[in-house]
Amino acid sequence: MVLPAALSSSRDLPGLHELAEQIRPVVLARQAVLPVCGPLEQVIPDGGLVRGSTIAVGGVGATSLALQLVAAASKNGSWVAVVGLSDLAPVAVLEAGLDAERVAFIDWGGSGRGVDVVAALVGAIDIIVLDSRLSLRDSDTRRLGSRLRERGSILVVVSPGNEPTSQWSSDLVFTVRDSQWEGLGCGHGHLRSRRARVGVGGRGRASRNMQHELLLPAADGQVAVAECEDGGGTVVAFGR
Amino acid sequence: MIATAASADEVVAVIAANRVTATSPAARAEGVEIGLRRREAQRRCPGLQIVDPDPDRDARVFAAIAALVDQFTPRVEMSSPGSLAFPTLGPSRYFGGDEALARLVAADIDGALGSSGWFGAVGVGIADGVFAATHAAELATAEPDHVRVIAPGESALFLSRFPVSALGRPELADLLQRLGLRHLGEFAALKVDDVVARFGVDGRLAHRLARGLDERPPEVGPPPRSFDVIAKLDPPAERVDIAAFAARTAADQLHEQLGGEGLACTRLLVVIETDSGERLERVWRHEGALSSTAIVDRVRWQLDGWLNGPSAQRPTGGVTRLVLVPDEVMPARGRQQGFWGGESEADERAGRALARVQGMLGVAAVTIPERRGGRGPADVVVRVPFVGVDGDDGQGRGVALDAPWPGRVPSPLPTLLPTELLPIQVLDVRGALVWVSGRGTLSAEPSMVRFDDAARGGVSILGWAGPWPCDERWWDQLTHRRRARLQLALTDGRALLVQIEQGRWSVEAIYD
Repeated sequence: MVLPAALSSSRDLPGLHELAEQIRPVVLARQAVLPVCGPLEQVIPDGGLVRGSTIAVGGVGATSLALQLVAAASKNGSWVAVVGLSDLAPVAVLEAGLDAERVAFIDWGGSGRGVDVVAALVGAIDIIVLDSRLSLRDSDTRRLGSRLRERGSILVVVSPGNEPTSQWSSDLVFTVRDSQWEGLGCGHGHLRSRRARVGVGGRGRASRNMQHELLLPAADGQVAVAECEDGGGTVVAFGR
Repeated sequence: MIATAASADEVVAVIAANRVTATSPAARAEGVEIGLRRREAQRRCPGLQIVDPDPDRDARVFAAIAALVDQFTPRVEMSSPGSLAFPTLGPSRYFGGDEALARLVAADIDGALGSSGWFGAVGVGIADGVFAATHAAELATAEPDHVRVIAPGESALFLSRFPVSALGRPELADLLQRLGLRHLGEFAALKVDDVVARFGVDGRLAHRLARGLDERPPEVGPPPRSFDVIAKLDPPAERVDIAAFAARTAADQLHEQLGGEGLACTRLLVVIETDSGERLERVWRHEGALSSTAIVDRVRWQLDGWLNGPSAQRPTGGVTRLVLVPDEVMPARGRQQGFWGGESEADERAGRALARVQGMLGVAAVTIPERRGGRGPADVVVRVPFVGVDGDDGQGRGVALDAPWPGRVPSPLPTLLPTELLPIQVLDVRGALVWVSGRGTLSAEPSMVRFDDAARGGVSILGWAGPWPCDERWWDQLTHRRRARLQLALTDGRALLVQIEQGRWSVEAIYD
């Protein structure tokens, strides 16, 4: 068979390599990750959300960060269920880029069945965004944690305005600090972007406790990365 | 059909996914038509009362009507709450002709509706096929005796004057219109071979409809063997959701059995029995193939209509047995598992898990976002209950509403909407309350926010913008809101969207 000249060298086809990566049948544990948007790849040690892991997000700005964390996976076809967080604005969920067809909000209404609800979702829903105000016994969190690892769902525990929860033994912990809004003058302009310092800690590779400066969201909707003045961290911008 | 306790002269419309799906005659007289956008409908009729769609409620009300029609013929087929069909051959001979039968049915339903306190527009249409009869019935709602009979063999002629959008296939209708075929008659005049070559299987089905033939494609027939699925409930289920949960397993089993033989169910007989020996049978039919979620919905509607229906017909015992009998099947085609996009196994699994959570917490506890459009952050996207209706009918959820909303809050939008009112005080440098004049100007520059829980004291304001006055729905006394918004950035890093309404400040949303 004669190949056209253009196909004779696969070096000319970066897309083909990409495709080969995607359709490779063997999936290693480290590779069972759900994608995150470009800038966050640099912030998360594993470059994505590892299936079966628990992630805690806290601080002023935690809601925005949690939505950005799961947005790319949702766009890629993963289901997201938000349990609790009854004050979460649905418009912000769609603005962050989650797919409206695969998002569900669950209002447990303070009934004591929070554990059962989460247990029912684990395995069927890829990402469960949980309100940290849902009080669980330690035995429940341990049981749910092992169920998560077994079934490969990801739990994102959000504490808007508060320190990240320590109730769960989280693999990744994000703490948003020093939020600064830009674009607002005294009587003019409107909120455009926010610069925040995000601490990333956790277990394993994440235990080094890195600090990053993030634009959450960025003003122009573009994704940008820049070096941070005080060493090590990066400035990351999120698109809207 | 509108299932709400409204009188005939109230202006009511059911709006789903921003489009009017049903109206009361009074609303129709005001110019509110099916398919209008919400804003347009409200423009034409400012006093319009809007009702959210609720298939369960419709099913409950409609069950009583189905029971009435059962007295005329045992072969009633339900397609969805609001419409049912039956073959007239037998009953019309007994009752003295098509016209007489239709009059009797219409008068009976009208009488029952009048005494039940519910309101609905009744129309009975008789024609060669279900499609033509449905359209005849729609026209009949406007007739004085609610009856429209199309003589045998004249269905094609009757349909030929309808626009192609009547086929209920928006994409096909759009294409046909661009090809210059505006009416069903013009589409029906095409040759079958040409239609199949250009529009495929679905096009052929639509072509059959346009020619006034039954929509049932020729390959539909009785199942080759018995596929009946029986679910026994022990202990007997008293509540709808418990019985519906058992139905889910049965529906999955039936779907799997049929799928194994390459078949899909188009007509389904659902039999429900109670421990005191009562029995309710109902035939459900679907234009396409019934998916397993669609089967469960049908069972739930039937249960809901029976268990929560009029007390005279309500069963005395709990449900002990559910039988699903596929009545008509056709070769399954087209409904393949999604590969890239479309419905996939993951979607089905997620839908099932969410339905299970609904079983635990109640139907209203699981919601999904729906774009509505509006100025405030709470209006643009709202939460609507997750209902697994058919799963595949794509009700336009998530379709961007491109209409501009002058004066809307600029992007990025806030992430938290407090569920209860958070009263605050916005103060100027001297500590006096800031207010907004009738002309939309601030009395002084805001410099501090004091939250209502006095313990937290005040927080200084770094930057602010506004006031953005917003005078909405001034034409309606009940829903009229006049307020002004301010965006505030506070020294503690938080940003708020606050509003003043009737002289009182409160937090509308938080940028978290």
